[in-house]
Amino acid sequence: MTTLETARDNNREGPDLPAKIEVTVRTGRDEERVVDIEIGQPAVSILIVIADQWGCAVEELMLFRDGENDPIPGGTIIGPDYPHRHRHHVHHSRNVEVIVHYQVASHHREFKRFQTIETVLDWAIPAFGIDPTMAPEFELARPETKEELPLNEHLGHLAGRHDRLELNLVRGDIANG
Amino acid sequence: MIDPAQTKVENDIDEIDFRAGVDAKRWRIIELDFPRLDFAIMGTEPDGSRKEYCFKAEVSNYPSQPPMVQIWDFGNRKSLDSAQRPKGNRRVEVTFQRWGSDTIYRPWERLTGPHNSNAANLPHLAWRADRRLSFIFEDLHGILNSNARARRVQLSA
Repeated sequence: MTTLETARDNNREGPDLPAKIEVTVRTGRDEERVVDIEIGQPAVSILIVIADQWGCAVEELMLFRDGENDPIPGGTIIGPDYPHRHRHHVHHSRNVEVIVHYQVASHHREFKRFQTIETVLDWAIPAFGIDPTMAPEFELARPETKEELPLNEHLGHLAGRHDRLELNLVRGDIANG
Repeated sequence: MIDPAQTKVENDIDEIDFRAGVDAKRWRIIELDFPRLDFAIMGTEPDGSRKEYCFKAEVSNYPSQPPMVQIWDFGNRKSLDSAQRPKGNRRVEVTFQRWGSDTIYRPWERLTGPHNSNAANLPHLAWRADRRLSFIFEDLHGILNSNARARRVQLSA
């Protein structure tokens, strides 16, 4: 039996339910849910819940802990010491093409969905030939908005189900004083 | 009876975004002695070295009233001397400048918001009662570490 089949089998309710922990899972820009996981279940159990919600195959999804660049292997057992109070992120495994516009020019590049706005900024500023000393003054915003995107925002959450993400490189706002 | 504002502050420093910053050592709480909240945020200097800056916030009537925040020298019990304040790009200089009220110069700050209509002109950076403390901590951390981006871009050029 595979890890996936074991996890699905263990999801059935029984008379002596083991202790559960709550894992906060971010699935979109403004989408977050708490997934109850039984102690002893593999991490793929979290993906099963999200795959059911999204109507896709578990194999299409990847699970990350906040601030980490490597996906959590599906077979990782959620034990009592598992850091469940850290936010988790679920992304499709497909890359996202990011197109950045600045003045009249545009540049594009593929990124992993767990990569952040800060990663795009680090690439885009030299790509547009901007003086490195000016780098801290720039931010990224979605087209037709002024709101600067948080540096730690995952690209996958901004792209949603799309494989393409357009962003504007803008001067960060400074209070007038 | 506990002040509801104190309960809200306590809840905010236990929420997931705030804890993530503590776990990653981006910031830490020095002391919550309501309505005073002392905290520290790790920054990056123009030469790439790391330095922690301390802050003193007054959080009465939180969150309907925005926090009042000053960059603080706890050793000398006064706001940090200008020479010791964070250096870097214009955004850093403006944020930590000395001005009439000598608070952090960002639109979300209690005294900066109404000054020169900063909150009205930059509503996406203004305080709202539905924001959490992590909004302020993320903003300060981003500015205090903006020097790091200049260095990364320089090294990759």
